[in-house]
Amino acid sequence: MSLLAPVAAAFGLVIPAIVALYFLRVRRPQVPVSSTLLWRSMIKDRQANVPWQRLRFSWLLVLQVLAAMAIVLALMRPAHSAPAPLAAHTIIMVDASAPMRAIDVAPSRFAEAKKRASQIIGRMGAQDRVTLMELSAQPKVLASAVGDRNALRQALGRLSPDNAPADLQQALALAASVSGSGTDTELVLLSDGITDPLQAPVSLPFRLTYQVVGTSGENVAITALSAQPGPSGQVGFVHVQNFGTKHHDTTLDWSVDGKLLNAKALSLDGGAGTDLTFALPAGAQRLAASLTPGDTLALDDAAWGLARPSAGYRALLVSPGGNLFLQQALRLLPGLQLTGVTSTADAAQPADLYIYDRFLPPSLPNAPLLIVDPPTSTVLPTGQAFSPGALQPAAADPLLADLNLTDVHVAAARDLSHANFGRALITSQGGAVVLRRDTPTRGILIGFDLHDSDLPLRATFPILVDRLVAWLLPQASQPSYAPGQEVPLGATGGGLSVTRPDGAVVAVAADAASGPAVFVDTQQLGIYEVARTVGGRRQVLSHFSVNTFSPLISAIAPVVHPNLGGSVPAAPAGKGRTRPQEWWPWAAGAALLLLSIEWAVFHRGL
Amino acid sequence: MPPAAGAAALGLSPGLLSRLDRLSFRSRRSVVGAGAGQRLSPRPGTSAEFSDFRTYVPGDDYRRLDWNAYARLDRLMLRLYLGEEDLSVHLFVDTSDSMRWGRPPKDAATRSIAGALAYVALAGQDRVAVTGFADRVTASLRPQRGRQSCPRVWSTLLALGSGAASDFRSLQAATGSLRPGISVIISDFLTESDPSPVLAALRSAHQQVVLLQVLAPQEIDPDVTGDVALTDVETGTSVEVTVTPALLQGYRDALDEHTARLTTLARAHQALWHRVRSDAPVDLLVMDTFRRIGLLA
Repeated sequence: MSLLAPVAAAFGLVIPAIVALYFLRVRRPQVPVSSTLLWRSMIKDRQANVPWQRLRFSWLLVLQVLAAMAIVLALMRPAHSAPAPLAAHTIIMVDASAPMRAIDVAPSRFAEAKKRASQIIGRMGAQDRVTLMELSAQPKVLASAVGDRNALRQALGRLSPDNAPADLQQALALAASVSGSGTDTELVLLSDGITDPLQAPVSLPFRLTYQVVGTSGENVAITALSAQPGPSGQVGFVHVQNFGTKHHDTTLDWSVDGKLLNAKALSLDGGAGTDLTFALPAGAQRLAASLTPGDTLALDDAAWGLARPSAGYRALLVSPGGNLFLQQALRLLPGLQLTGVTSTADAAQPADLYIYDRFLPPSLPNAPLLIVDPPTSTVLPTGQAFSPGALQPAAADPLLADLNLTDVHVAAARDLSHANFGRALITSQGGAVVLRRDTPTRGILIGFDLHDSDLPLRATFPILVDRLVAWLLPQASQPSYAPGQEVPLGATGGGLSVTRPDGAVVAVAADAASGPAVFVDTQQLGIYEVARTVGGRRQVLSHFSVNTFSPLISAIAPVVHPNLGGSVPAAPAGKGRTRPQEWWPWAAGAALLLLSIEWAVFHRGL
Repeated sequence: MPPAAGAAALGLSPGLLSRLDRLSFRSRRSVVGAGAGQRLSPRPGTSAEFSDFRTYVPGDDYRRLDWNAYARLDRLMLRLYLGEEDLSVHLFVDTSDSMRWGRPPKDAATRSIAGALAYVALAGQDRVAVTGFADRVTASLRPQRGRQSCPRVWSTLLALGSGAASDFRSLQAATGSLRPGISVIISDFLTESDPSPVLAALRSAHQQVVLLQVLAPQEIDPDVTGDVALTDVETGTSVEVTVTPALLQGYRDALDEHTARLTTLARAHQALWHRVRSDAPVDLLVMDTFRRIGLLA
């Protein structure tokens, strides 16, 4: 036995003080009575407080001293070493990422993890504290250092799995921040170990116990779905991958705009994958593929995609002075519907690509941009003209691969150092002459008038225009995003809304000051529709799809040890752990009992 | 002191006095009084109640010869009759300091009771003597007779002095010259002094002894609580107690034991014992209680 607060023994001085009180005379009010004859027989046992008389035996004194001893003992916090099933502070991290939806463990890995977490909570001691964390794409603390089992179980009950991979790095950092200063802290990780690889070694100030949840890695998934331009229209592309080690037979159902288009039986060996293409009917928009029957993880057995409109991309060339070179080069590009306007009043037409030649609108649209020799303005400030000299790539860029710029001459170019548009693509001795940007929408800024250059006369020019437009307008289908990923909507202003796959409409607030709108509620898988409602009229702006399409989700084979960079050794759970088991409550209870007896004795005159 | 004033000072109203006229002491045996009264005397007397016969001897009053017996027996027989003599009532009143304690004070109740008993006796042509005692005899009034003696007796009762502590040994000397009769000791009996010797002496003096214990309500059910020092008003000694319900119950038990001892003592000396509360109305005591216990009739 040990005493956690031995200093409290100083309170033991109260015991001789109690005894001394039985020696000391108590100042009492004088009450005259006719005779003390009858009283004297009653006070024989109660006159121990006469000064310096021999202390007589008194049950009250005994009980009071015993109660004082019990109280002092409680204050000294006696404890004995007892086996502890849990650390003083246990951080339970429950993996709620997409792979935990796998049902190789009945009813699911996630349910199994919650069950184990609940069992750990059930083993809590009276002084144990548990922090409950969710391991997901955005780790969260559900309950911090709580000693209440009910509160922990309620928080655990609110936990649900999402559709994204887990971010273990961020979760461990969060766990380290909530671990506190206590030395007896343990992190119990209930996971299948399928997480993002750690980008940096993690130094944890506590012990880590990893409990693997999951038994099987057998899973067949659709890992790609897109529409590609083909020789005779668009072609649907699907990749199906067997992430397991065993042979699987399955059927791929392929539908367009809600109508089943094809079904194909697949036979995949372990680790094998197959690519399939389907000709898309004209006007196809929404693509869907699914595997039947389902397997261990149903999440990646379906995929959704978007086909390009059959009319191809729309490009709007706004050139008040006209630019024959640019117009001709653009007309040569297949699948591009070019509309050339010279009037600035027509510059607001809807298009997939805006090309401004010696022109700038009051505000730049949220769409791919190709800007040539813009006039200086607050929208895109440019500097004085200078003679750039010889041109050269600013960096190794695929857009300029194998292009010869040495024979290109530019008479005068605008200083783009203040344009704040993007990084340099083509530079010169006097500075950058062509800039490129990737966000919020892709864009190219050419800082000189094509008429002041011999570039249009070089063979490089049509190739460069083709590459730039191809980069600006990717020929793949509409992008597919991962669950939970932020999706730029490419639009600003009021009235924006997004319709989720389940049909729920989510209003999106976006104004010019805050920039293009971003949609973050992308946990559901499927096709989202972006629309704007102005004056009661709803106009669909775009679509995007959300799919799993990640080995971090579909490769569900449990990882025996998570990738922790070897920085934290996994410790066996709870073996040999002891902790002082305080029993001051028993001493306090004994004191209370003794005081109760003393009260009864006092009143019953024992 | 005018008679009415003395009675009023003792709490005896005219109405009560008129009712007391109908009462008399109930003697459990015939008494031999000092003069003609209303009690039958064991001495042959002139009353109409026949007692015995005896042989005539010269000098006897031949008016008491039973001629019918002479005719039957041919012997001169003298008829004897019980005589009616007065009763001597001796009132021994405790005047110690403890009797002045209580709410209402015990000495007031004691004087009222003694005054009422004295009136009953004097109104019945009995003799009344009063003795105040504490650690000594503090006052003494020789036997008085007749209703006209009431003011004197009452004045004596009102002027009883006080002594320190009760001591029944102080009565020992006073019992030697008592006429046979009734001795009423009125005290709280809360003293270590043993009344047995004086009870024995009174019994030897042919006294029918009555012990009236007068206690204040606060002595029967103390109203003290907490940590107090109880000071004896007679001795000045203090005892420190922490008064709890248990202690109070113990006190009541001790009082019951003390009462039981007194009762046993009284029974051993063929005495009558009764406890009286100091807040009890004197008319109720005299007209009801004392008649019920056989002191008055």
